[in-house]
This record gives sequence, structure tokens and C-alpha cells, in this order.
Amino acid sequence: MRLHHLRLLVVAAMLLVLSACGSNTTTEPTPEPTPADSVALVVNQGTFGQDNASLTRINFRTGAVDLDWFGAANNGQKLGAIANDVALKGDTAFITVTTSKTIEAINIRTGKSVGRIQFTGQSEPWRITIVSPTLGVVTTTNGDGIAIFDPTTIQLVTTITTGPATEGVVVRGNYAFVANSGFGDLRQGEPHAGTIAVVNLTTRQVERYLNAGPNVRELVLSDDGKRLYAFYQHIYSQPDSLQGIVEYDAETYQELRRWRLRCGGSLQFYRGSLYAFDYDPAIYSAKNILRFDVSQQTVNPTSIPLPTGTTPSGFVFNRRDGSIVLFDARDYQSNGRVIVLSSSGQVLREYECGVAPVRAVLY
Amino acid sequence: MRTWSGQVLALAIATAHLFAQRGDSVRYVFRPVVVEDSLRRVVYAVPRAELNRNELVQLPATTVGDAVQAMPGVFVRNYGGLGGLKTVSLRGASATHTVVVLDGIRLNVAANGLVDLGQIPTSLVEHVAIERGSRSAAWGAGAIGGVLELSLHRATNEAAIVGGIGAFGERSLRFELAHGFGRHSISVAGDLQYSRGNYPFTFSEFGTVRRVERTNGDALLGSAVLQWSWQLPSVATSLVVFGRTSERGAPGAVLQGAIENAAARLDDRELLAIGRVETGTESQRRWTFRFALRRFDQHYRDSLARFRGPSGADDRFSAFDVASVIEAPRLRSSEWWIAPKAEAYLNTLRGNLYRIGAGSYAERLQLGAAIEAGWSHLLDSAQLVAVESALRGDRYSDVGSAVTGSLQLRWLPRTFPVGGRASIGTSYRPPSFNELYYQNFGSTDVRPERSFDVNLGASLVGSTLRCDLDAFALWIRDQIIAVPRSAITWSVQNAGRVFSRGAELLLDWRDDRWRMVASGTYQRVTYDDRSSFTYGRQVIYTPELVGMARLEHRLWDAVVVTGQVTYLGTRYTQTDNAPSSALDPAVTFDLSLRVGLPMEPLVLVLEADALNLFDAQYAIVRNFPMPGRSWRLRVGARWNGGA
Repeated sequence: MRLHHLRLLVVAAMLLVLSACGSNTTTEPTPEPTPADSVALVVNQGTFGQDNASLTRINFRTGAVDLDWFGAANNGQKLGAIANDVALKGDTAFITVTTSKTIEAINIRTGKSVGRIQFTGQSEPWRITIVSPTLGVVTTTNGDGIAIFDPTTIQLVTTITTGPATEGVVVRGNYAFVANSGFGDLRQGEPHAGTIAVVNLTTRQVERYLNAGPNVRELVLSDDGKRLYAFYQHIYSQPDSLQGIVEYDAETYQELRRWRLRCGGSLQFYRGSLYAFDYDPAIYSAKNILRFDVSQQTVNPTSIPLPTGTTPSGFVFNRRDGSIVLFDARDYQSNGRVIVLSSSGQVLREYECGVAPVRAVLY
Repeated sequence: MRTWSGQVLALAIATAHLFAQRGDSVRYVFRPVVVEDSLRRVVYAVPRAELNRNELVQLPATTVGDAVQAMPGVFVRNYGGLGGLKTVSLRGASATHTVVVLDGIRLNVAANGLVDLGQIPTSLVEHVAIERGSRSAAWGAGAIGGVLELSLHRATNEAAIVGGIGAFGERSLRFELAHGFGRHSISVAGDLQYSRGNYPFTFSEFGTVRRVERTNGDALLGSAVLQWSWQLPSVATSLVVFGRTSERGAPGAVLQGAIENAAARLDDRELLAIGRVETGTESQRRWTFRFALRRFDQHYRDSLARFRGPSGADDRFSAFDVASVIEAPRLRSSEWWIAPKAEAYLNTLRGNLYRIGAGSYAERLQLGAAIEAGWSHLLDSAQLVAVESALRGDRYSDVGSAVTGSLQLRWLPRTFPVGGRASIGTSYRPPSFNELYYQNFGSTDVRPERSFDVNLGASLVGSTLRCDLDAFALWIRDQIIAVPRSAITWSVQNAGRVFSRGAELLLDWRDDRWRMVASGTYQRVTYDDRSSFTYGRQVIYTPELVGMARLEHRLWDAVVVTGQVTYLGTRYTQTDNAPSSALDPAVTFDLSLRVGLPMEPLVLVLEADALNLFDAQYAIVRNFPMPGRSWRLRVGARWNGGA
């Protein structure tokens, strides 16, 4: 018996040594204790047709950058084609990979894939929001609606048709607001293009449509949830058309105010103000971030200058220190940059990231 | 002395003509200057490589796109399969910088400036020549990287028919008929090719490597040429009608979780008629008139392209072009010559994605005039210097005017079988209709692109060996590139500067039974905007190194076995040349067998190809897999009517 135990011990030791020698063996990263909001998980969209969407993990405290964190943590596996959004539920991040038609769920401590929702047909996940441990909502763009999924089981629950080419989505209480963009020129003539669908998540029915503007793409709620803001974009075939932002009462759905100006996307609500890019059509890029103090009766946007030589493709606020985490897509065909700015626009730090960074979560 | 050099020039022209008539016996036949007939030194004014009819038959290629891929300075961007787009880039320039000329008429489509060489079968082509360098002064707009000249096959067999089968459901049929009566001759040739295109390839998806089949890759291509010629003592008239049709899938990139354009279909119809009238005889002054009409219809549909609406995409484009070219007689003296030329092109295009709200119609009238001149001089009894130049002006109805020029110098010693050449040239390319008017993409603000190039080369020509070596530098300015307006929308502007430099080698050795051809291209093609972070990086999808070696062995007179190895170097898909964006080098090996067995009055034909023998898995364009190992077998007969 003792000999038998000894043999088992030797075999176990050999297996241990062999497994340590295996070329494809990955060492489980040790979760490191970090203060809140000191790690950014950046979603890099990638280039069309290249299958090169990626996740970059940046530790602001140590300066460490894992350029393709998902690939490194999952034996070189690709994230897929055209990632667009990310949302957190506890230790799990849900990343929408639009062209690959997946929502990839990963553990934010290790980067390991913990599950995947695979869509079929025309549904391509775009914007995502987690409402509760059992309720997540994602727009399906070409699927012309939203999908409801369970973030705990990582399972698709159902889909709801809302309108052509859905992009932005936010949820307030039992209602989801869904932007039916119509993809600008391409589907602007279809019913409900350029509207916001108000979806009752209990009955799973669209209760009403709010007129927004052509190519409505992004939605945000104010911190208290009482105001809904929608960004609608320029129609390319109509050079004189302007884009703008609409403010609604999120409870009564009444339109309150509308600002028409050449602002860009990346709509954010942070500490009582609304933020969006100031888009310059002459250079096809944004030069400033506009800040709208919506608490005022008359809103005069103020500018936060962006670094020259950048191609801003998105930004988020670091709620820990109020800094702006700016994404620079450069030429959209090379690795991008993450630039940390002070609230006044001063460059504090720069980090490399993957191709075309568009969103991030900080934790 | 002057008279002597003039005689040399006349001899050169006559010799070139003789060589041209001999066809297969001499490969390099276009506009050479021969100093000493016994040495057969031939030096082109600009870098040039050719494929004649015999070579096209020997190659394991069914389309021009496949046939030219191994020529010096050439990179064929191939999206895979019989129906996949195949375009030619020269010297690291883009495919829109290569002018494709068919029997003297430019084929580049005004809509996008491209020619899909995968749609032109080699069986209908008599001769292929590629001139490298900025050649707009001689060939007109677009010749920034160079020119690809095609001559349609003039059937010589009374009758021939060859049918074949191959891997992935390949079926093919080609035929030709020719007849002469009196001063007239008429011929017709046709080519039909079909493939299911469902070739397997390996693909990594969600962490699992799988072997899957290409979907929606089927293609049916049909082409035909009708030629009629009428020869009078002082007038030669010919009419060529080239028609083609294709129905094919247009599959997109193979991505994790999705295959783009999995249901996209593309149908083409093209009819090109070229009339040619030449007055006078070869030895006399003569006028040449060319007149061409072309109709090109394209229908693209994709029921799954929901971003275009509930029923997907359904786009139709219809182009109608008219071209006329007049070449005046060459004015000659003993040492110089002048050749004027004028041309007019009218391009029209209708498409449902053009100029929204303005009729979906675009047109362009181009008037051009060019003058080429040459001068040769015998420096002493041992060296000849020849200078050629060209100057050209073009006026466009929509994008202004352009003037281009070129200067070539040749040096020919008598005592060594080596000649040298040097040239400079300028070129331009006007924006295509897509770049001007395409919805969400075009901009009427874009200007023509410009280029300047310098070339230095040498040729060694012996009785069994020919070697051409060239070094070049090419600067492209105001390059029209797509820049992002947002993450999903791109638009064009004049934002690119590219500097390309490199060297090209062509080696051709042969004896009675063996022949070896090798070519290699080294090109460093970099972004040249010093203010950009991409400055000095290799331009995406331009390999630094491309090479080919081909060995032919003639077993008896009727059997030829050919092996060819092709190398394609690393390409980057990101402008910063990030290592993760590198596409690995690819090596493919092809083997072909050609048998022509005389059985009076017929010649039985057997052709067999084994392609990509070692099943290399690769993509020239990322996520567009190329076929692995495949085969092709064709049999048929030729009848020469007892000739």
C-alpha cells in the first residue's frame, strides 16, 4: 500500500512537472489588490474585416499595459470582429462584439472568458447595459431591436423589435429607451427611423416613440435618472443638416430642450453636466469636449481642449479623480492611444492600446 | 556617322518587327534598339516584362490575374477563388495606379479606377506586357505604377476545342474558330469557366482550429472575342468585339462568428468593341485610328445587408464609355523621330448610390494630346546613345487639367552584351467617380494624385540568357485615401504621401530542352508624411519581397513539364506595422503538364495542373482565404486544316 501511494505521488509529481513544462499552459494571473477605478478595461473596436477587436488592460497605478489582454488570458483566442461596448456586473465584464454577433463575458480579475452569448440571424449586439443581476439589455442593430439576457446565467432571454438599426440604449426603472438610428441615409425612410422607442420590460412591448432627429445614436440618463438625453447625427447626404442633442423628461417623455450644433458623439453625463465631442467637419475629427451645464436655464457649452494630433474616438470620466480618459484612434488602422487628461484638458499620461479604442470601464 | 546611326535605328525597328512576327522564338520584342545584330542586345527604354502566347499556355493560370502574379514589380491583390477580385499593383503603388490597356484602349473603370483581371481569361489573350514606372506621358491618366498591356488572342487554328474538370466542381470549356477568305479573315474564340469555389481552409474560431469550406464562392465566367480584319494594300481595318459575363458570389472576410457577405451576389456584363484603321504600310508613314465603345453593367445584391434596409442591398451600376485615339505618322530623320497622338474619352456612369438627389449620374469627358520624340546618336564607333521623351496634356471636364512628361536615356556599347537605361517620369490620376460622388464616401474636393519616378536599369542579353535588373524610386503625392469621419464612416481626401523604392530582377535562361525563369522584387514602400506617426512604415498590403522561380523541361517535342515556386513576403494590415498585424510569408508550389500530340490532321491536347501542391494555408488579403491544394485537367484537340 505504501508503495502504491509512493507511485501515485511520483506520478502526480511528474504530471505537475509536465504540466508546468507545457508550452500552452498559462499561469493563472494573481488578482492584484487595486484601489477602485485604478484599472481601465479598454474596448478596442478593431478594423472592419480584420477580426482584430481586442481588450487592453491598463493599470493606472503601476502603468502596466496588457495590449491584448483577452488573447493573453485565453491562449491566444481572438475577441472577434468589431467590439463596441462593455458593461460590468460584479467581477464580470460583458463585451459586445458586433460583427461576430457575440457578447463575451470575462472575469475582470483574470481576463478569462467565463461565457458567451452567441446571436444568430441579423442580430448584432451593439450597446449594452446591465440593469440587475438577472437583467441585461443590448441593442441588436440590424436585428432592429433589443435583446434581453440574464447576466448571471449568461443566457439570452428574448428579443424585442423596436425600429430600424438600434444603437444606444438606457434603462430607467421598468423602461428601456432605445435609439432607432436608421443608419443615417441608409434607412432614414423607414418607419420609426430617428425615434426613441420606449419599451416596457415587463410586457416587452414598445409603448411609445419619441421623435429625436435623423440618425439618433446615443442615449444617456442624468445621474438622478430624471432626464434623458439623446444625440442625433448629421445626415451625410445633406451637407446642411445639423446634428444635436435633445433633452427629455424621462418620466413624462416630454421633450424639454433641443440644442442643434455640430457636436460629435460619446455622450456622457457626469456630476450634473452633459459632455459630448465638439466635432469639426473640416478635419473629420473633434477638437474639444463640450460641457453643457444642464442645470442652467440657458445652456452655453464650454470647451475642454483636446490634444492636437489626436483622432478622438471616445472618452470616459474616471470617477475616482475626475480625470478624462480619452481614446485616440489615430488613423483607425493602427494601434491607438489612451490619453489621461485633467478636467481642464491637460495631458497627464499616455498609454498604448489596440486598434480603434471606443469604450472602457474602470474598476 | 549620322547615317550609320540612322541605319542602326532603322535596323532596330525592322528587327523588332521581325522578332514580333516570329512570336515564340524571341520573348522581348517591343520597341528595342539593337546595336549589333549578332549579339542581339535589346534594351528597353523603360523596365518591361512580357508573356507571349506560348508562355501563357504553359502557365498554370486561367486568368490574367493569376498569370502576371510572378512578374517583376507586380503584386496581385487576390481575394481568392475563381470569382475573387484580382487587381495588379506595380512598384508598391495601389491597383488604381496601374493602367490596363486592351488593344490600345484603356480599360480602367471610371467608377473606381480598377480592372478585375480575374475576369479576363488567359485563353483569350495573345500577349501580356508590363511597363513599370510613371508612364502617364505615354499612356495617360493613372499610370503611376505602370501599365499592363493586353492583346487579345487572334485565333490561328482553324478550329480548337478544349474542355476540363478540376477541384471544387471546376468545369471549363474553350474554343476557337478562324477562317480567311481573300483579304478578309475572321475568328471567334470563347472561354467558359465555372467553379463551386467551396475550397476548404483552416480557421481559428473561438479558440478552436477547424477546417471549413469557403461559402458563396461559386463563379460562372463566360467570355468571347470576335475579330474581323480586312487587309488592303494601303489600308488595314480590323474590328474586335470582346464580350464577357459573370455571375458569382461575392463572399467577404471570414470572421469569428460571421462570414461577411455570405449571400452577396455580383453579376457583370461587359461589351467592348474596338475598331482600328491603319493607313499606309509598315515601311511608310501611316495613320492609325482607334475607336471603341464599351458598355459595362454591374448588379450587386445582398439580401442580408440589413444596414441597407429590410430587403438588403440591390445596387446597379451602368457605365457607357466612348474612346477614340488617333496616332499620326511618325516624322523621321536619320537621328530623330516624332510621333504625335491625340485621344478623347467619354465616361458615363449611372448608379443608385451616386450623387443622391442629383440624378445618380456622373460623366467625364477627357481630351488628351501627346507627343513622343526620340533621338539617337553614335558617340563613337563603340557606343550608341538614344534619348526618348514624351509630353502630354489632358483636359478633364470635371477635375481640371494635367501635364505630364517623361525622359528616357539608353546607352548601348557594341563590345559587351550589356545595355543601360535611365528614365524619369511624372504621372497623375484623377479621382474616380466613387471618390468624387459615392454616397457617404466621396468628396468633390479631392484633387488628382501626382507622382514622380526615377529608374536606373541594365540588361544583359546573350544567346541563352537574358537578365534585367532595375532600381527605382517613386514618389506619390496627394494620394487619395479614405480617412475616418467616425468609427463607421470613412471619406476620401488628399492625405497620403508614399515613397516607394526598390529593385527588380528578371532572369531567363534556356537551351533546347530546359528553361529557367526567375524574378524577384524588393520594394520598400513607406508612408512619407513626416508629420504622421506612420512616417517610414511600410504601406499596408505591400510585401517587401516577392519572388518566383519556374523551371520548364521539354520531354520530347510534345510534352512540357513546368514547376513553379512563388514566394510572397510579409504584409502588414496596420499602418503602424504592429507585429500582430503581419501576414505571414506564403510559399506555393505548382506543377503543370502540357502535351500536344500530333495525330494528323489533329493535335490532341492534354493539360494538367497541380496547384499549391503542399497545401499552404494562406491569405493575400487578411481573412480572405486562398485555396489549398487543387488540381485541374483539360483535354481537347486542335485542327489546323492541314496547315
